[in-house]
Amino acid sequence: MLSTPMSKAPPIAPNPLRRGLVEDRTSDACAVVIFGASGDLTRRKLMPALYNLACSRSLPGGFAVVGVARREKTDDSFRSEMKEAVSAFSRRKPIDATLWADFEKGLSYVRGAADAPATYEALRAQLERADAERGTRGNRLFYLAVPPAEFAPIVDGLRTARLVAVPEEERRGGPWTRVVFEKPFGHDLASARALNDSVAAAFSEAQVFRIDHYLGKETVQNLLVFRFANSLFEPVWGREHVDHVQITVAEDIGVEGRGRFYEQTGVTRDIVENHLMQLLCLTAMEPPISLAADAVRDEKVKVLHSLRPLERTLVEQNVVRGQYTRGVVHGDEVPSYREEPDVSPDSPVETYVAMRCFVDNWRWSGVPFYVRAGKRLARRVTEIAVVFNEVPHSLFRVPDGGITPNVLSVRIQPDEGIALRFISKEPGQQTILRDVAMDFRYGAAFGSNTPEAYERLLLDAMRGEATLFTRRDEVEAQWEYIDGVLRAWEAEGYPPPPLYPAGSWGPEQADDLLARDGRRWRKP
Amino acid sequence: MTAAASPGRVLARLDDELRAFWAAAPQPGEMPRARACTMNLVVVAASPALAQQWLPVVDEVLLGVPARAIVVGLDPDGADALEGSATAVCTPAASGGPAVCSERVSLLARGAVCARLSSCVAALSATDVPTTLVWLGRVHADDPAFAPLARDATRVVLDASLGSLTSLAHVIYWARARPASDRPGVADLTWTRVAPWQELCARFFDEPRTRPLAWNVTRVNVTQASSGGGTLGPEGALLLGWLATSLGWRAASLGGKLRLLRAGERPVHAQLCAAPGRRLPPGALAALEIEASEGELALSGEIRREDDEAGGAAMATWRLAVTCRGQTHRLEQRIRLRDAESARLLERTLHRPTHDAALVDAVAWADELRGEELSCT
Ligand SMILES: NC(=O)c1ccc[n+]([C@@H]2O[C@H](COP(=O)([O-])OP(=O)(O)OC[C@H]3O[C@@H](n4cnc5c(N)ncnc54)[C@H](OP(=O)(O)O)[C@@H]3O)[C@@H](O)[C@H]2O)c1
Repeated sequence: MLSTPMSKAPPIAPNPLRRGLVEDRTSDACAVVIFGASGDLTRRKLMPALYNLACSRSLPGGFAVVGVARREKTDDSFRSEMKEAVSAFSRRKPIDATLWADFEKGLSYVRGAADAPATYEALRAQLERADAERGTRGNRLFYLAVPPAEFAPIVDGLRTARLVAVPEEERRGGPWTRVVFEKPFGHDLASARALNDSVAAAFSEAQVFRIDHYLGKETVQNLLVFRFANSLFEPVWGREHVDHVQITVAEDIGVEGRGRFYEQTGVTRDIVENHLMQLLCLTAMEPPISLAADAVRDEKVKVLHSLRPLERTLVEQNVVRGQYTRGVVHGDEVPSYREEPDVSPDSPVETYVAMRCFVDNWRWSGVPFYVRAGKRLARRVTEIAVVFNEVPHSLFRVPDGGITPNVLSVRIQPDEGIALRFISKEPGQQTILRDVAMDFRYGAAFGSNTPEAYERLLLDAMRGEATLFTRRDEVEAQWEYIDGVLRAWEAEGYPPPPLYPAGSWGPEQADDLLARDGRRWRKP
Repeated sequence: MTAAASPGRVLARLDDELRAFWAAAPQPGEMPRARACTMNLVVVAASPALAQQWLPVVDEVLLGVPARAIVVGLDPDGADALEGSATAVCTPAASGGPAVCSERVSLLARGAVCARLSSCVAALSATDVPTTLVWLGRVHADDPAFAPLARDATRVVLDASLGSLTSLAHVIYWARARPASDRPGVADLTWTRVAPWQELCARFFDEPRTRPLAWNVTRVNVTQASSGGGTLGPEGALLLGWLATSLGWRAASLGGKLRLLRAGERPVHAQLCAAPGRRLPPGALAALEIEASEGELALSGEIRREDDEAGGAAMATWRLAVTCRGQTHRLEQRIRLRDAESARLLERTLHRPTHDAALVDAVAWADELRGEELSCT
């Protein structure tokens, strides 16, 4: 289906009434097909996001949602379950009964397994009904909210059932197809490549949207604005002025009943390979030539290719993993990782990882990026901290250890915002220096009712805007880097992860990683 | 508000009050405060009562757009005086962080002080941030209260429903006559109110198949809430102006009746109607109907605002019927317009681009319709 010869037909003219409209972003009429419609992600994120898009008038006139999963459900029971989910998890409360009544008319359910051809026949019939009754015009967004093992069977099922439109048709005004993949995309480099190959057999890259919901967060997008819309920071953003960068993705929760999933994954695959690498890329990348999807993604890929590869010997020196034992988090006693349900009592899986990375390019040469991610840490926080050089010579007598360097911290969650730490004189006769923080809180300053990441990302995917999604080469470059670490750990004789008490900031070895360089972790 | 002898004294006192607010250490149990300011938001209301009405609106806007707000009520017929008070509007941070505060000054300018208002506002404005002037009421570009304030602003926001389309047009022309480097953008709250209608109307022609029909509109009906009779108000006129300028329609009269011509001098039958007895603000758009056809393809679209529910945001039903070779496909969607809440309206206006060419074009066109009578019910 993808091998249609290129047509010379000109792209169809834009809608003249759309010119200059600035307020509302809507997409073309379409049907959103959610594989995994009975799952947690659909309940907690996807359906509330779609409902909120309806509230903000961002859904097109022709719209439908078709849920697919194996569990027995009728359209009516699916609707009432979704209503319950939206009531519980929507950021707008209470649910708007009038709007919901209109929205739910477009919801339907198809029962079927990912690997059963009958599923796709039933789906096709349902989609044709949606085209006829809901005006979805043959446009489909397939959202794969299923365990990663089901990605390939679904892609295959869609391809075999010829449910994928030819991209060239879209250019001529015909219907479009897009597919969204939830993370994790692959388990290692080889599986990511294999999955990409099977995806590429069914879809062109322009139809593929690999989600990293961190990119849907306002503060993450603000990082680009902050860096490239302020002339103040860019000149000091590099090796001449930056001593090092710390990126932290810390969670205080444990595996929350997802022991089986975590045993297969670990924090490196779950967080570092995707979210953390993306944050690193956005921090280190060069200014893109535009905000077009490929321009931004090209720059991120360059960063990934500049990462100094972590071969076996380098892993020992630059990477520390850990696993939590019993401890106390926010005053509550919590079990060790190995005591969690579905976790092996001698599991070697890491729940913490800290890495020292180098971006070997002109801008960042010699500047370490210390990144860490973990579960059951002291508190939940995600931040990027750029630590600047110390002043070259101190004019002031400072009793305890010199003048602390300036730090610019970008807080991604919670309390999204940006803070700049600098030194100031305390009022009085003596020259006493104090750290002060200039703190800009995003939510407090601009109101806290900002759209959820999934609202932004779903609408972007419906509109075919791919900037906030990961491209094939990007995801493979991420895996390529992480694969070195995973392979080293799998090698015989590699020591098991050291333990750290739940509620701490990770194993001591992680502190040593920075201490060897004369630095220490922030306690954000 | 406290009366003071001279405006200078009042301003000095207000300045002191603002400083004191920041100098005071938080009381035990009180949250520390941080200041955020993205603009000076100067709101001038044509009467003290209107200014009072807008104080809670401005406070709500400040929660989403941190600014130094200066809300002024004008009383040009009063005895010369300036009265004022200052306060802070704070958003508590989610998890115990500092409260983020905007400053809000409210002023009452009476008599000759109205003409010196810009000097008072300049003394109270925060430096290094842009200024938005929101003018609520009728306006003349050479009004001594308005002109100097508008000259200092990066954006002027009017409300054609409170003033008139003609005064909006005058301000637009006045702004265009200024050097480009110093030209304020002009926005209008009624234009923002009409934006959801534009969006819904654009949807009629989103489908690639029906897109060319946008150039082949044969009929347009605009219905306005009105107790019967009357003339087309700014909402309807701006919507029609936007349609006409986007689609290249020309207005021409025939025997005193409105005629619209599209490309090739083909007519667009236009009807301006009144919808009496509806629970809608007077002058509000009540419905838009549009028809277009070319060859075997015909489209008919309708946006109909429902009567306002008590306390609820305005609801509309959007309907589209596309007929091709005798087969008709229908779509219907219900939508919240949310155009009744002044705070949201102002906030949305502040988020729009400063310079809006579509507004300029639509106003120039719509101003021609001045006094056009509603001819059907
Ligand atoms: N939950 C989150 O917050 C979250 C966050 C980020 C990423 N993700 C990713 O999102 C995906 C879904 O996560 P989840 O938490 O929603 O998982 P979940 O609660 O276990 O739901 C999985 C869904 O997939 C369906 N499913 C499983 N096997 C299937 C098969 N063979 N054929 C058809 N349907 C099948 C299940 O329905 P039936 O059992 O009825 O078939 C269920 O609806 C995963 O890839 C996960 O990594 C989730």
